[in-house]
Amino acid sequence: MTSYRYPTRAVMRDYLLSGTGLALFLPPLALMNLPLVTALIFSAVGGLFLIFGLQVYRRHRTRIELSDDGLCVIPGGRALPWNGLSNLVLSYFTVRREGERGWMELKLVSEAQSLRLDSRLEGFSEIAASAARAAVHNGLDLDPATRANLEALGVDAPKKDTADEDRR
Amino acid sequence: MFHYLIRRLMVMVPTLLVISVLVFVIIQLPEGDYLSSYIAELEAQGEKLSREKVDFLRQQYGLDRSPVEQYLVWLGGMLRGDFGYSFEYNLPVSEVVGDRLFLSFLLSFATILFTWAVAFPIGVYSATHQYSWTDHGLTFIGFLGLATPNFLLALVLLYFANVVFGTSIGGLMDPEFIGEPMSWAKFFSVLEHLWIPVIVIGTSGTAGMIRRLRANLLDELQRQYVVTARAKGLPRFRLLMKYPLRMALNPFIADIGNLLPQVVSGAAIVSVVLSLPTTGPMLLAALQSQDMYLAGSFLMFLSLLTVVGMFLSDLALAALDPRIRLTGGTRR
Repeated sequence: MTSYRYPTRAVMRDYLLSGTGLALFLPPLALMNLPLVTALIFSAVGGLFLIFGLQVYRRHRTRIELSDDGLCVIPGGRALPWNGLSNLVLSYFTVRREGERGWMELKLVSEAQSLRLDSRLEGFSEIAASAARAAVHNGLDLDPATRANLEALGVDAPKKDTADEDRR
Repeated sequence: MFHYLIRRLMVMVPTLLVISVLVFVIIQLPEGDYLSSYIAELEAQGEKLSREKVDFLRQQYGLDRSPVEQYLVWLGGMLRGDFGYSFEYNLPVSEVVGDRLFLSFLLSFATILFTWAVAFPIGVYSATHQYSWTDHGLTFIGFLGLATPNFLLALVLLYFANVVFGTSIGGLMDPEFIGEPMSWAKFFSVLEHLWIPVIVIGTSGTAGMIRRLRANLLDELQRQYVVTARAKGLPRFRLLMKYPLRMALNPFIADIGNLLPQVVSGAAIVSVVLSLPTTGPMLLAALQSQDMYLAGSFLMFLSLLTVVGMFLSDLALAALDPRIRLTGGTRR
């Protein structure tokens, strides 16, 4: 079993992002006499940054344990066994026009659990590779974007037909 | 996706700040200010203002302050809904603009809906029935739409609407509703007049969109995965909806950001021809007379539309096809 965490630097950067957002959108609400529409927009955006900050805090405390049987998230002890994996989506996001310096998000779904992992997690490639193998074994049909992203990550994503043949 | 939304929101803040600085610099660039133009105009008419009066007006309009101070006052005011003072109309900008912004937004929104509602079915039909008679016919109409100048179409439709439906010439409502508060009667009058500018402004955009959708979809329909899916017996319509159409939509979604300001600024000439009470003609007049706060507010409104449009299109693109596309080497 291998244990992975989000690196402190990545988490700190997200804390900074959340703090900057709160600092930009909440003080005008308190200090200026904003019209209702502007106040609502500022409150909504400020609220999003607050939720993001809470998410970062949760991520800061999270440890992911990878084993041959599946994933386990600590604290909370939420487990996602590979044989119960029912969907895998790997997305790539970037705010840059040239498409660089982005990050990936891995969504793993089983009947009981749904996990989202960020590519800044240590050992993300290993987890994605294990999940892809499980998806192939379970005969899941991966969408073209997930397939392309897995390939970019250096993980082979055989098509469903090949997986069916493998199982036969 | 939530992380992406947050990062993308954060990009909008400095973008809007830089735009506001640029807008302010641009409206300050012409030599002199509104007051010097006003004094020159009075002098041309043989009138002369005393030095004290000039200083008083300069102080009252805030033109004696440094540009940085003027910018900060303008920016802070905009957040509070105070867009400054229109020198030419001697009224706050919000009062001058009145319901012009709302009417501009209504016109733009209706135009975008019209463009998409007409272009989509025609584009898809043309691509799926390539080189059929209907495809040729629709392509011909599309080229006509692209080639016809907006102002010409505006004049023809204006005449047609007046002769056939008895709609009053020009404007976005019947004359008795101008300056009146919004009511159902006024709203229906706006709807009665709205279709002409919507068709006029939307026609060239619709034609362009049909051509691009047709070309994109044809590219996708010739891909191997489409052939494989058809060989496996997937129904044509389901196949079309599942992947090729989604892929062909990417350029349109990426274009939403440009669509909003294009529709607003593109409507300016049509608004002049049709005497529409929208923002376009007023922006032109404000730029000509150096009415800086009025012009600045309009430019900021257009910029905000662009930035919000880009934001929405980026979100939609990320949700639709979150695929890695690197121009350089592969990197995580």
